Amino acid sequence: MNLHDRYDRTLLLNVVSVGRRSISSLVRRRFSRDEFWRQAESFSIGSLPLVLFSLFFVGIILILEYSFHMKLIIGNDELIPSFATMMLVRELTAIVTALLLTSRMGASTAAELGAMKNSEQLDAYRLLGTNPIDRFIAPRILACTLACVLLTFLALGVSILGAALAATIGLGFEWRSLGSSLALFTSYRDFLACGLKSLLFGVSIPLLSATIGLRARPGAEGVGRATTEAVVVTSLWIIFCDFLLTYALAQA
Amino acid sequence: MKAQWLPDALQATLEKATFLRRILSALVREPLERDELVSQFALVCWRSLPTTLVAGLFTGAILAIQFYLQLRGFGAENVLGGLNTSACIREVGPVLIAFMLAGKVGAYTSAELASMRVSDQIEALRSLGMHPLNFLVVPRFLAVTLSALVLLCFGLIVSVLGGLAAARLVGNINSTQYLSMLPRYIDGFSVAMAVIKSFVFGLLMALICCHNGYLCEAGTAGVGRAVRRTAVQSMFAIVVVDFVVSLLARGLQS
Repeated sequence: MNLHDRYDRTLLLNVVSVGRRSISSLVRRRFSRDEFWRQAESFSIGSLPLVLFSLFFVGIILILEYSFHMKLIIGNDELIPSFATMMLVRELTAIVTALLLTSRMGASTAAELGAMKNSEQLDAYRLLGTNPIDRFIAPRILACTLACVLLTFLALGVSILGAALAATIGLGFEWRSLGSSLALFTSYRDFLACGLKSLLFGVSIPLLSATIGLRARPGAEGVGRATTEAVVVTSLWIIFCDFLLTYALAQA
Repeated sequence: MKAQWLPDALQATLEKATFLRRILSALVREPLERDELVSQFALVCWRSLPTTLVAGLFTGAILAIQFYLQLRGFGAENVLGGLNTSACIREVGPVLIAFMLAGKVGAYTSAELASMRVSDQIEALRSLGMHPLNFLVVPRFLAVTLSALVLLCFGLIVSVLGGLAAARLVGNINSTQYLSMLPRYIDGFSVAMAVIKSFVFGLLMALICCHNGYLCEAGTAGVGRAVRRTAVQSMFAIVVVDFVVSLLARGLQS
């Protein structure tokens, strides 16, 4: 980033340029290690209660609803453990985790960078010879990507646990039915798809929200707008990407 | 770090209940600010309509693809329309769209109220002899509740179209076949459940964002904290209430 940088072009161009420079900062290892550890803690441990709690309930609700629908359509619900685990692995865990992370961390990332830009702290950093991308953005991208993948797989475990509990207590299945259906119906490709999705979402969240923060207009109003814009753009992008990936993987 | 999150959660719930009581008593005792209510309602609806529609469309499409892949294994593609629409409007649609609205409407409203609080505008209103809770919070509370209900219903209708398009695209299921399954699997109860969920989610979102914004701590950092707290609390509330409503509906239906 140099002093001539302007963030008033279209969002796409800004995202590409911030992304390019973040990658080079990461590859050349110029990014700030301290900031990385701080962000990694805030992204992963800070979001852990929210993500695990929510996904636990998502698992329970999913299997109860599946049972209702399968009884309605086929007349029995014997297959729902496998359907529910498939749905959790392939689809819901990755997208719900990413949307939760977007609201929790994307908004605060945009607000923080927008406020720093508006109070001219970013210019001050540049004058001191520190590149804001190395200092603030590249560490966040790395931290959020790792945290998102990690949280998604933890959340997957917890949501399957929730589904198994609901199936055992509420629906009278055997405790092991979910484990065996996991082994039978999901292949490594489903887990790969889940990992791929969370990887993509994990990169998108800080990249988009930080860029939108850098584009904030002056004043408190501008920061507020940037914050909501960050949440909206990132969430829509996540849903859109999820659709594309699901579509592509369904064709493959 | 979060050694005492349970007492914190209980305290937050109690505070919300107290605040709801204050809003309701202001609503009953003071005259309603009609103009403010109408303009807030129009503003929230207009600003969030595109977001909601896109979110609804893709939610329906994603679910349709997943259900198609599962149903294909049993040769039951013809029930896709009913299954997808039912799952979408009863469960997945309301939650995902409410998440989105909590991030957009909730964050915006609480940031607005919080920056008014921080810049002492609320005190200024009080010193002018106005009732700030009645003037600022009650219209916003009602507007967010109502517009969330309207937006969610729109989003759910669009999700049916999204599912239809995806079924066509991936599974070659034509629209008459898709739609013919709807009346068989969707009854008044499912629709009522979708509407009730939308209403309750809107109410919770409105309460949480108004409370966190109106009673925000001093300083610009307080605004940021209020916004983040709104997002986190709304998500928790939506997930828990969704669980409770689904459980109640299950009990009623069987």
